[in-house]
Amino acid sequence: MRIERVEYHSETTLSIYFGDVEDSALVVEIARFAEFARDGLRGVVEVVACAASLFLEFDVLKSSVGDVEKGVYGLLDDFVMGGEVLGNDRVLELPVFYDSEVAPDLLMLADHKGLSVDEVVELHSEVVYSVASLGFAPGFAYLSGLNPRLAISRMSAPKRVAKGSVGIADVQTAVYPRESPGGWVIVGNCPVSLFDVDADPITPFVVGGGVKFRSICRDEFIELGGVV
Amino acid sequence: MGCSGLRVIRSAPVMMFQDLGRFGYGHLGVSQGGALDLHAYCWANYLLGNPMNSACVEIGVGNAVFLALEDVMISITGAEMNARVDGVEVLNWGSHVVRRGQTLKLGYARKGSYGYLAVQGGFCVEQVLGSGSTVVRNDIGRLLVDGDELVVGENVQGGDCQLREAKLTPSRFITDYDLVGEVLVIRVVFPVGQERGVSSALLDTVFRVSSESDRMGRNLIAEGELPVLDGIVSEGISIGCIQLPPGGNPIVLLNDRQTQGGYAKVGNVARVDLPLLVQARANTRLRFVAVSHEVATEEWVGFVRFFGL
Repeated sequence: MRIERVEYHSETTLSIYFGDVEDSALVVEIARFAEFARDGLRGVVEVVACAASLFLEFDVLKSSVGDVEKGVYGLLDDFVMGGEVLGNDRVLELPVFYDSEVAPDLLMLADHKGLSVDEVVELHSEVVYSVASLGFAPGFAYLSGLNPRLAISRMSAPKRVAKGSVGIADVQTAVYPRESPGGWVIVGNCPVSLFDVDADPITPFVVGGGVKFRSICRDEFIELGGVV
Repeated sequence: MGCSGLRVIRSAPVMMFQDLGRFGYGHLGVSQGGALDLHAYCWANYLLGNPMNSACVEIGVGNAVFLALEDVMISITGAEMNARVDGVEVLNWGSHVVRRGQTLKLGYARKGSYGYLAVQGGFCVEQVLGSGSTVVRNDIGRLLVDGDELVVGENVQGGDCQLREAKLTPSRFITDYDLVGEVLVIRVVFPVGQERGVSSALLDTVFRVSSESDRMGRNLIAEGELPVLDGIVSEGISIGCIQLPPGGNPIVLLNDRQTQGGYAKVGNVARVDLPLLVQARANTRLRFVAVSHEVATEEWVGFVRFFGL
């Protein structure tokens, strides 16, 4: 794994950028490296593994951007690639109701891509995705492996997005665990709880783990607690 | 447990507990939260001799009433809300004794947007993942409502619920949030290597604070055209990060921000300038000026050292 560049964002934060975006092995390595580095960097208070970068925040009385950067280079020398990721052997199956009743952008996406709605549903639900990172909101998992035929840019401005919304942005897909502002293109809704601070673990997603969507009908959606 | 403290007789529209924030859970998508105006929050605790991480009540908009259930020493800082104890005006940015049975009444914020109410000993707040900060969008904690009883803890140097001499914040540390007719100047650290055109467009544009701002971010309305930038692969976002969605209106991310985002990032507001931005009311006009990473860091270190954060 190679560091491409480092960017200092603020007085207390920086990102380390690694290799190519679409390399699904890389995102897992970044996540593993994040766990490896979490307790190994003096003064660091946040370590967030992202799809192509590692975000770090530190206490200015204990470290500096330069020291954290040096520390990351040092740890990378000792990091062994290719190890196991806890929980990535199982595939998490999530039910999704794909319908414009709960998915305001489904018809737009189909139209934009020259596909039927059924084709969109098939292309979206036939893949086993990989959790590239957790972030944005508690229990929000960035899933990689989207069929490029469904890739679409974010909306030009964020809007209110309903709890459970299944969205697409560029080459990733994700489920919004609760109502939130968001810019992803919404194609369905998943009625399953994805974040609970009293549960252990607090989210069912594991970075590097597999996720597959299962298309469900309106009745099953409502039975599982979905709201139309 | 300490004294029973204060009862909320009338809650402000957006009123909740905040402390320094929740750190170390960003990798699970948990927002940090924490007091929006860290300067006013820290002074509220400082005046009372509280440890800096003692939760305060953050009061948005104003118009709140509290009844003292015991003798308590309180402090109020931040937005000017015309505080009165049993009808007698008390100074903002000061600490005051409120006797059992007395009423503390805060009016609507006249200057600034967020006020802070602290109590000597700190409020007892449920700790979730190591912090008492409320993050409504994460379902952690909730807004305070009429009838809530705010329990006072014993988290204080030099005695339990011991009333002390009233104090005032020295005037040079009191922020003037009153900017009627003025353009607020906010300093920004630009990313090294950012295209000159992007930085200069930001420096040449005047912005207005949108009324749609919340604890996640300050939405700004550009009074001119900004470059249209492509999204990026989602990555971590700092407090004060300026995102520029292709719609052309930037967002300055604040305490309850999402942990990652994919809109283009064009700069970061200096941390010591964030209180000015969060207190700016809707329609306040502002512009950005550049500050180096080194200078911004030096000032932030000074702030952190002063309060021992």
